Amino acid sequence: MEKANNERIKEVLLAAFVLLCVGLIFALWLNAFSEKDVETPYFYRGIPDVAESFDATETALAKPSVIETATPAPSPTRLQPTVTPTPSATPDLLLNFTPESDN
Amino acid sequence: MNFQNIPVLPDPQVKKSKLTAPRLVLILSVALAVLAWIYGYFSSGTEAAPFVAEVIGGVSRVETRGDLFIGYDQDGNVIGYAATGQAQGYGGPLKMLVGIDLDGEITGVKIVEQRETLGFFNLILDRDFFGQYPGRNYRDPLQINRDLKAVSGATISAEGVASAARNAIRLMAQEGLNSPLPPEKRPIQFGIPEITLLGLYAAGYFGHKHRSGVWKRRIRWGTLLIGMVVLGFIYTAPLTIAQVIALLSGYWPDWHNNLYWYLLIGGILFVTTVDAKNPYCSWFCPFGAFQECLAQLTNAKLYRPRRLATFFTWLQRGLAFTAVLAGLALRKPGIAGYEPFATLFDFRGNMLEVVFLLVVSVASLMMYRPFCNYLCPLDPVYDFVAEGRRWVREGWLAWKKRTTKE
Repeated sequence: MEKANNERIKEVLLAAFVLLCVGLIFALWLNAFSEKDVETPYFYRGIPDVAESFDATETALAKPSVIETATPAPSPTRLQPTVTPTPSATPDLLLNFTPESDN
Repeated sequence: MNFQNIPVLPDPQVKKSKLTAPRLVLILSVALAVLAWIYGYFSSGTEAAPFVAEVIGGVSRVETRGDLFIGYDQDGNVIGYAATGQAQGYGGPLKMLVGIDLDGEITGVKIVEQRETLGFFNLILDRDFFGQYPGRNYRDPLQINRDLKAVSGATISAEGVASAARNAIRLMAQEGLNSPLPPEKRPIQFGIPEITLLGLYAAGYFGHKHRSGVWKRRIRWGTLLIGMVVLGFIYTAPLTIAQVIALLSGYWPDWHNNLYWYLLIGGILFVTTVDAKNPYCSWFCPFGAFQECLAQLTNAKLYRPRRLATFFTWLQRGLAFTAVLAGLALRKPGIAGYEPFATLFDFRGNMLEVVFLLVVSVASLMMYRPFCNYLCPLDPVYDFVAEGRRWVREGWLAWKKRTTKE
């Protein structure tokens, strides 16, 4: 009789443990599913100077002719930093420099 | 050992290939998993074009040529290029948008798409990994441990980001700047974790075959402790359900940098399929070893009452199956993983995860491997593979018998 009781208590404890863990797992899942995707921040060398007229919806597939006629791609010599100084943010922007990467 | 002898599925010595209830469930599971995969495949993907202005400054118009974006200023002059590059992270493909100016200097970077476990992704954000890019030249190596600092605890994610960025830069160098980069050298990463893993496989194999019970026990304790310390606490690289989901999703990482991933998953699948033995759980699972160490303190024994065994088995399978379905449907292998491995080995996790680890640890003092026996999502995966293997084998034997008679 006592053995049967002990067995019953052990079973109840085991069931309680498993159900508690299942409850925690569901809570973890709720947490994971309800969590919004991490903001995917951008990292820019200064404050990005986005033109007011910029509209991403206006992006279009470039025609080869457009690419050809656009400003020509730089020659390898132009790519040397010693030849062309690296463009940097304007002084105004530097004053308000709050890089995203400093988080 | 008790752990291996738990009767979970029907007797393997079935003479005829029958459509038993577990096999029917197996078929349904595969069908559901395929549906989840198809749903996830067609519902994923992020357009990168709207983000180009965040990585090229002063852009007023963007034109798209495949994965390459050409940025123009208001006067119609090209002022920079952006491109997306893709690589495998820990949880699946990472898509990175990189912008450069006409001098080849990186102007900005942005993650457009990622499926990393939140903890890993936050870690690379916190360590300012992305902040290393702006200002670099496109000809820089941009490789971890060369000119980029590593992120301990999120190595695979960081490697995925670095690789995706390099792929984007290569595209811009070739198609935008007309100055292609030389072919990238990709050395095979083979170090302590890989050597340890191979050693553990070998020790497990010989230990398993050893006739002497004492030696078998000693070898097993040796592999368990090495697994816990090296694969657990030092490298935090145990097998997880997220890796299984990544495998099913087709998110296979670059083998040069992730040989460990292939050795771990491939080795386990190979041994389980060929030899019908699970080499991992009882021989070197780091979390299993942790639970066994706790059980040693109190001499805790295996407790699995027959009356409830079936219920608990199917509950465990249900949890594993839910995790797999969610991971496949959302294309995020790590989203539904619930193993407390990172909480223990990397001391990382939220309050719920810490409570979960504490509950399992206390239970481990009272019974043998409670997590493995009642909750681990990997055990049903082994059952699944073993059942499939048994089915194929029976069919093959029946076919062989038939052809011999003829």
